[in-house]
Amino acid sequence: MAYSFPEEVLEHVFSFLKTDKDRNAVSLVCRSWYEIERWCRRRVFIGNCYSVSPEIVIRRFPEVRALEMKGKPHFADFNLVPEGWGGYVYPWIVAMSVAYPFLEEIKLKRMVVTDDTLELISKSFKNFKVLVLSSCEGFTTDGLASIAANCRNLRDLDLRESEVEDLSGHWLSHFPDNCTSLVSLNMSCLGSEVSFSALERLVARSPNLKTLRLNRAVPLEKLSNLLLRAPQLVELGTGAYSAEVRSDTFSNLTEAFSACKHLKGLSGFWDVVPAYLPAMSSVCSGLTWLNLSYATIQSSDLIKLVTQCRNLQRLWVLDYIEDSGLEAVAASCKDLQELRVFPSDPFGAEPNVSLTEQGLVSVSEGCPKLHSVLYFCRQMSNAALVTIARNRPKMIRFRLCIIEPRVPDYLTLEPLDTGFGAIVENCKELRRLSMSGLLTDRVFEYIGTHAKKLEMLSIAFAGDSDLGLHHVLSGCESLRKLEIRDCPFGDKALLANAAKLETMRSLWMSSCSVSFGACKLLGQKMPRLNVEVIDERGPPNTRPESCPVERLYVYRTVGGRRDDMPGFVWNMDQDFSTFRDSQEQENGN
Amino acid sequence: MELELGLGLPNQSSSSSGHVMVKGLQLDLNSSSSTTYQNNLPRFLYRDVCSDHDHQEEVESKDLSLLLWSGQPNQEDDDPPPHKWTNLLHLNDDVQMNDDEEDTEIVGWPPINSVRKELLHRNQQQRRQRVINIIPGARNNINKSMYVKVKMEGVPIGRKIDLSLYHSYLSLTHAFIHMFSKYTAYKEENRDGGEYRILYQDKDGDWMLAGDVPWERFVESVRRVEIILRKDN
Repeated sequence: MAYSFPEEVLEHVFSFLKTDKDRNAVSLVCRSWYEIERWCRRRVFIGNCYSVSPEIVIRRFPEVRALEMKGKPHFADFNLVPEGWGGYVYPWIVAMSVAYPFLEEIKLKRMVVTDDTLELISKSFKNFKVLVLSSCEGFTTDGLASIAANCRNLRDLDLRESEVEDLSGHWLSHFPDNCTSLVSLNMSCLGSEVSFSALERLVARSPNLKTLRLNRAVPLEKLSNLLLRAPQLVELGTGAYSAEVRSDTFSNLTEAFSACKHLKGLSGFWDVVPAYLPAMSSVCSGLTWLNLSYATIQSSDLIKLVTQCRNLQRLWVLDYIEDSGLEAVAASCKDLQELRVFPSDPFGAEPNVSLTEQGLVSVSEGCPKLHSVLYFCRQMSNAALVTIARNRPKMIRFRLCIIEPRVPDYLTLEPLDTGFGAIVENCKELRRLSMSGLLTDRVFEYIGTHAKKLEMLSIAFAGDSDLGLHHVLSGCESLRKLEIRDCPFGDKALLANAAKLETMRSLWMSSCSVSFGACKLLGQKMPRLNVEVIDERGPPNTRPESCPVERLYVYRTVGGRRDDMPGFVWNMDQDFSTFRDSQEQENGN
Repeated sequence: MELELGLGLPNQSSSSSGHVMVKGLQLDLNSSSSTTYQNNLPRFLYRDVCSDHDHQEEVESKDLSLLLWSGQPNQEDDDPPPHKWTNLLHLNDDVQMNDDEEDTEIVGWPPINSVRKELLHRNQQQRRQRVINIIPGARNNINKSMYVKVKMEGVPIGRKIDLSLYHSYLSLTHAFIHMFSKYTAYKEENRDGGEYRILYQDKDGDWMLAGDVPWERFVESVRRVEIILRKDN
């Protein structure tokens, strides 16, 4: 190149690129851009901890300050990944503790984090600020005590939906008295009581605290005290929202809430006593996020509450809200963008509430900004799905769970193919889709044809042949994550689209019809894929090649096979080739 | 390394000479010897992707669907034979029957994460505990629900309500107002329930006026509820 900007200038220009995608694109322009970009990359996102090794990341990006990484497959959330599968972060922390002494942020999802790991984090990075452990496991409150004691500049500690072994509530008192940097503290997942005086002192000396999510063990009587010490809060997760109905408790709470002028998000509300809900009336109009998905509140009380929250953008509730409540939401919350409705009794045979497809139809009609839906219900119709699709063509995430598998349109008894077809056809921006109900291969043809921006697809109990999977893999250009359970998809579709898998982050298939032979072939022919069979019945080569495997997890990697596979996971690389060759020889002789 | 399985990309639309395109999957209906890719394919793939007459003995039932794809152009998929899903429906019935018989829960379905499951479990236990605390005899019958029938004067259809979800007469009254609002002429927000009386039948079969005894004793003894309009209204 005849002329080039000085490095510093390019570095400065690159600093305006916020998305990983843009940074990746820049690094592909030419060798010098690649070099400049890699030296100034501060944030790294790794969607699968086995897709690359710590050494490779460190070699390419020597100056990382923030790491975000995910471990187990998404279906681990639903107990489909056996205990001990992997996703250990320790090797990463060991490598980074040497390479990145200035690391400030670690955000992990679905990873195994031990107390040793937490201790190593707390002692290795001098300016450590942010620790987010989302759906992680493997650690105790002792590990948290190390973080509290040693991370002098800690800003965020967020344990959302992690499984923490609760040894003692005393860990909070390990925050040193001069620790005043906290901005966010989320300990909603903890089971046991925390030392309340320690919590109160910590909150009182954290002038920048914006997010505080308590756990169920913090009683309602204590909430007003905490709020009075932190009127600057923007997001609050209450503890148990129940107490004997007493006028002084109520008036204290009302007063404390009215002092909080900046609250935008509310969650918690375990064991809620509806009589105390009016205490938060003063903050309702300012709320943009309300998570009532832990709150067993009846529809009438919910309606009273949500109709006061006219600026809501995100609402999470249990199905106690019922169709009538969602109708009220549709009428009141015109800014609503995201709705999640969770089941209160998913395992009961009979519906315990009157929540049907109608509630979702109402919201799709009344809330013009709605673009993200997670909806559990017990009946659905094609007509409803078509209406929703037409009402909200800008839908980005649509996850529908009809609780009983393979349930048809309850009006026509037909499959829900045309309904979901309408969703993918009308919603051109759809990036995430979860499907349920009775579905044939036809719906996958619609998906392959229309869902060109779809990035993540979850399928359960659907389809009738390989053709279904083939439509998806060959048609969905942007697909990155595909998870399938209990579908009759098998070898042909998988092998015919083997090259597609290299463009995706991962594929999960459990209780499908993929044979061991096909997995083996895929593993041997596609060296950049890790093809892992998870089978708790023992080594797959002790069964016929045509025998379907229990679970298959395929992901692309530049790190090669992982070395922490437990006894029930097999990588389909060279392992079984000798076995097969000898078999063939035997057959030949 | 190239695995020639992605085979026909959709732009290879020349479907003459025995190539049938099924949405990007190219299947060769001619003899196996003439095509180049088959010779490169491992035996396994060869068998599975290109079902053909030379390998009849290896055609398993699965391969039938492949033959079906080749034989029928895509459009004919538009009308799947009804048996396809009626079969599934029957299958579903079977599953349901199993559920009833053995209480076999499908692992990981519905897709609810462990945190939420734990919460549901605790809520359920707590509700039972509350029942136990309130009704001394309930300990022996832990599964006993707290559902009671509710009728409103002039409304033909009764409802059932789970009392363990309520904590006071006030919350119960509000629930009733909401529940029956669509049957009554009044606007819900203008009412406080004052126009109505809530009667209940206690465990001795006597009809009483709700509100006269403390909430806990009410919950303990109520068997059914009836809502009547105040006569002076």
